[in-house]
Amino acid sequence: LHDVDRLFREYNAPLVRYLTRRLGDRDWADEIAQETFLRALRQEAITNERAWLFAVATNLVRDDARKQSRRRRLLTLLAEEQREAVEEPVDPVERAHEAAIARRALEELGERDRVALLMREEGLNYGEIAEALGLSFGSVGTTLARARRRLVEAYEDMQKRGAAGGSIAS
Amino acid sequence: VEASHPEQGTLHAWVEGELDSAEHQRVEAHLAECARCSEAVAEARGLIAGASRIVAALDGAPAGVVPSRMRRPRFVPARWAAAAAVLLFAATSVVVSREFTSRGDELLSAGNQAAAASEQGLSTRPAVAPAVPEESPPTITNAAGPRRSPAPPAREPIPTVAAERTRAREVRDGRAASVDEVRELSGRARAVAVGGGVRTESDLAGRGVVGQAAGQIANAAPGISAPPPSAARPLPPPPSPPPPAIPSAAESRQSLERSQRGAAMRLQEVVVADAGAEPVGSRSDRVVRVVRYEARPGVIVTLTEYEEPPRPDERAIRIRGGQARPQAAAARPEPRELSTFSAEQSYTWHRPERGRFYVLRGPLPPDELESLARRLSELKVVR
Repeated sequence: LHDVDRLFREYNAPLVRYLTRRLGDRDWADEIAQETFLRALRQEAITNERAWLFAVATNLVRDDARKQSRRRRLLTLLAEEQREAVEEPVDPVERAHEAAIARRALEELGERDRVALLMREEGLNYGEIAEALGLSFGSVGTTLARARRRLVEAYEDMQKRGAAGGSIAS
Repeated sequence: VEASHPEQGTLHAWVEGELDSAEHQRVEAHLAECARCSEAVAEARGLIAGASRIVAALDGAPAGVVPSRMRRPRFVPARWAAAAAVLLFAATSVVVSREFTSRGDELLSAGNQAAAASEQGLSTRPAVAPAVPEESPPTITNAAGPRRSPAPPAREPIPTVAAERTRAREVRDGRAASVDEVRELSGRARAVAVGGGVRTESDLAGRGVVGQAAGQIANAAPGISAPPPSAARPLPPPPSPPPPAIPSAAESRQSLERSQRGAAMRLQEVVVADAGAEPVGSRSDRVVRVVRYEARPGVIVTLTEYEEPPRPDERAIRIRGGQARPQAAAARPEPRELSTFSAEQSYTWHRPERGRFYVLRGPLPPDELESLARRLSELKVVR
């Protein structure tokens, strides 16, 4: 049995941030994170806690995304109602604009590249990423290099075309 | 040395200190002699920093922002007559005035405005092409007025990104909530009210009887003490035949889906009056679209989209109707906050990339109106 309190204190913030970036949905991210910690509670032994938590969370996202249950929407709505507007220091619209482009650029990546990059941004080292994603250590650098290049190029491309300005209407 | 250029991935790993010491030194030695790989390292550093910045930017989205790729196609056909938009606008202002002012003279004034609009505003020109859907959130250039009081963050500072996205994705994947689900999820989504409002007002507007409409509304006013959502108010049923402005079932459905979004922000779209039609006469600030929302029960706000900067004094425009002459654009380079009705506030902003101007009006404190405008922008309602 693990000290879930400690695990939670130590890893909840980066895990939720990772999941939020991945999912674009804070409430969903919270749910997945909680489920992850619940599973950690039931887990016998975890060698690398961070890699284990991120790997389990990533798998839960994959499973959960298939369900997309009604409950999910309900929870989202409920949570949304409670969420108070937080004062934004800088122009929130501009930030939202940037974020929308960033999200679209991120969507351009392959799933493994995307997840690896987001894990790296949460401070996981190459070994942990390899463990979480079942990659060889040597391929983590390649994965990250590819992910970064695509992300930056996609982002710059979208900015250049003013993609968020309507040229890619579906 | 030249024969063993490290791969990109290795360079990234090297920059990030993730190589074991032997390999680290090998790469380092190579870099000392290889200009090409040194350049590649510089590039790698740039990519690492750039990607990191982009990922961090993800956190900047307030809840409700939809990445444009997820957006559903524009659904409002541009077939409303111009008169409908303008007259609806006029009728709306009457309703708003009635509901939120208790002074009879203002009611009268609003009625006169509507009448003026009906006299002068009915010469429609041919429809122009519908507006191209817009992807980006508009820039609110006017932040005037008091800021909303900072609410304590409900959570730790991991910022939230669009919950909306989830729903948009569902819609895209054909998993959109059914109408029933929308109702279930949001008890406030008053489907009947939505339909009723559209029918009644569009009918009145379509027949060009705004004066009559204003009269009816004005007459009905004293009898209503606690104002219900205006769209739900029964107005005399239209005679035959139903005007084309009544939305189809599909439109109602889509309107409901938007209501579902709106439910999250306590907003309901009551009426969508899309234009794409040339508005009336030689009005300088041509109305493209009028949308009404229920900001909270009984409080209706109106979003108006203009092709040109709205005049500082809306009231004057509507009184003068077609005779209003455009001021030089330079005279009003910046949108400004307007204050036209005693009980009503307005908030104006501009989207330079579209050349559109938006005014949100309603009986709300300026800070609330501003925050509402922002949320509307973020929800891509303002396109």
